[in-house]
Amino acid sequence: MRVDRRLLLLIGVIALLALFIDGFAYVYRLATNQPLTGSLRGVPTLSIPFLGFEQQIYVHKGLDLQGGTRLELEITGVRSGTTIQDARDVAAAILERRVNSSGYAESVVRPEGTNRIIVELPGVNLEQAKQILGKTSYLRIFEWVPGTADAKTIQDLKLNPTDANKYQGYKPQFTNIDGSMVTSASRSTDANTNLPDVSFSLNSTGSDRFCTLTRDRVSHPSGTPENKIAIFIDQNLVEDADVQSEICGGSGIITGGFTAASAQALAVQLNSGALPGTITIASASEVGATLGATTVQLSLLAGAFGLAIVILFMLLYYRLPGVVASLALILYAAIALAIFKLFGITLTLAGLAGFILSVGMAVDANVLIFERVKEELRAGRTLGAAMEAGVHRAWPAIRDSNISTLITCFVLYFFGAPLIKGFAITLAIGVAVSMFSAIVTTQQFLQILAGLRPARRLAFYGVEAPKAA
Amino acid sequence: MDIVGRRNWYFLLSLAIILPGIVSMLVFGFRLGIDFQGGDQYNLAFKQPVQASAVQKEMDTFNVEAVVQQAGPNGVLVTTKPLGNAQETTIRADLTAKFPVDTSKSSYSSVGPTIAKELVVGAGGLIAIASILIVAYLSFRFNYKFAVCAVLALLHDVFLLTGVYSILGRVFNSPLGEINTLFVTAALTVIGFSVHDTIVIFDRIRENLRQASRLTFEQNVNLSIIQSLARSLNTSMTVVFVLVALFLISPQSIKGFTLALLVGIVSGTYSSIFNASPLLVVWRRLDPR
Repeated sequence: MRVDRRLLLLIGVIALLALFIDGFAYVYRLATNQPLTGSLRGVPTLSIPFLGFEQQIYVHKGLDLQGGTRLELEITGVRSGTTIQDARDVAAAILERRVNSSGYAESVVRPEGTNRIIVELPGVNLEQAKQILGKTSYLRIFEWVPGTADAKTIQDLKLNPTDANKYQGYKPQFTNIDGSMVTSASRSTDANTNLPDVSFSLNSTGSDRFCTLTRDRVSHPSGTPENKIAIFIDQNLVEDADVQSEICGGSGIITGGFTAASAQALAVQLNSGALPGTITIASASEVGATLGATTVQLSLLAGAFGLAIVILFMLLYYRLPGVVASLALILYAAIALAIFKLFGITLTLAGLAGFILSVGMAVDANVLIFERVKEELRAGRTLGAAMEAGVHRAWPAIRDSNISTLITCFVLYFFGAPLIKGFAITLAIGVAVSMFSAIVTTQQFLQILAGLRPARRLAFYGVEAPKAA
Repeated sequence: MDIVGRRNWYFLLSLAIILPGIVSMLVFGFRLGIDFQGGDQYNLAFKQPVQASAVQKEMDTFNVEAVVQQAGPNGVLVTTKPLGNAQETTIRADLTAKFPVDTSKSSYSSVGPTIAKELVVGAGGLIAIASILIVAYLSFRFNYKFAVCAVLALLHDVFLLTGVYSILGRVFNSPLGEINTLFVTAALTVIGFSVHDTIVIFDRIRENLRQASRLTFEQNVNLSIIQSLARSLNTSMTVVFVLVALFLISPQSIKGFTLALLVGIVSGTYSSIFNASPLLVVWRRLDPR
């Protein structure tokens, strides 16, 4: 086997790509005219428009590394008529609105299992988290009346000025119907047009007021602002619907250009006043901000120390191939880090452990190859032949051991708890990259070595020349 | 060096470590973390040294089965039975008021009983599924005897690790010996590593068997172990170095995790050299087909 130029080119391209992604924060700083040190403004985003690719390129740190609160909520006591999954999704949507309206970046709210919701709030302590989640969105129904809203009125009503001034010559007026009066809302389908709409029910107070309101609105010509009711959530106008008939009896339907998704969203928003069941905290964890930062520092220190020991050992024990292995290892670490960044893999403590373990396995692949090369050299083969045979004979062991590790990762990823998943994914990526690193990178580097005249002394490989037999 | 010939001594050494562990597991059980039995845990860091006994005295007033343990001079680990939302808030406020708690360096976690139950079932299941799949893969690549021996070596490591942790947690009453989700992660890592190590030696045996030679099966296995010895020790030593470094510098919350990895990887190296391959020889003698 000779040096394969195409493979070398591939290694070069991958190395450049990896270095580009690893150094992307610096590229981003240059591109956005920021100084090269100090804290970064904005989120570095790499977008390749013609591939439809857009990804934020930075290390996504888990809560245990950056500090914050993670809650696993359980929903119980669901009202009859809804399935627990529906209730869970609705509750998750409501909680997500509450979290988003509090403006916390990088927060996560997602349904899990049949009746659980995971909430992750970076940089927030448990007490704050409880407040955020307990905050209800405030639904209010307005009508449009002739006149112009002055700035102070808008401020008093806590409305978004753009929304409040939607129609020239009209101003919003509160109808005294709010979210506390909505007992339930759901997506439904118009029997005549087959289009999605939203049906809701109100309690008796709301029902009476809504009846009066819609009777009045219907009397105005269709299409004019006075025919509409304006639904605000917090300060924003979310729905500005035409009223087609008076709605009495405590329930109503909102139609008007909904898609299935927007109808669902509105139903969720109407429900925002009331969660569709009781939410209890099934598990919670809170990590102080400095604690996370300390852990990161320790892990980096351990990683650097580990890498240093490994490189030192390789150099002392395997000499020249040790140099090759060290280069391959550094490239390996750069590629793995680039993959974590590129695919937005969240790094947790367990994830770091998985990565460090995969470094061990990457070293092992090199050790396996070099031990074989040494054997072949002792048996009197030429350098080139020994290297080729060494890689060739080490391969089944590397393949089988790494595949069984990947099997374990697979089981962990699909069946494990979130913490275990994080471990499995970094280990799996690490193992996959390490196979590439050992078989392609190390092998090609070795072949280059074999072609260099000064590198042919066997002493460089920690082997004594076989005695002529 | 005759490793296979002295196999019974090596099996004995394994048993000498595993048996006390199994006895401890049966008699004392485990020191379960809150993720396995439910409960609340405060990992408190203080601005100046605080004695665990002082915090224990304070916690006893709440009557919540609190156990307080020293975690370094400036920290304690407080474990309680599951607290409700309101009680948790009260206790937290009380502790912050009475002790110099550094909230930015502290952590807290709480696990409800339902989740704890799922985790216990999940952890055992994961190890079982992973073992079965590994047996299947190895049966395909080698044969079922190799596969079963690899898994026996794997179980050796799992039992040794859990046994050591049972003793550590219950007999020595050390918080390091706590069985929690991180421990399960460590155990699974050890499984991966142990199988990895065993396969490297098995691969050598497979290769040597293919070459026609005058060696008996037993000699062949011994030769393969010796040939792989440099690699086995080199790889394990580098990993052990890294883990010792990690153990020394890791914060209290993950010391138990790194220790588990350390114990497991030493055990994994031992079992792949001294148990897995010699077991093949034993099996071959009993069933020489």
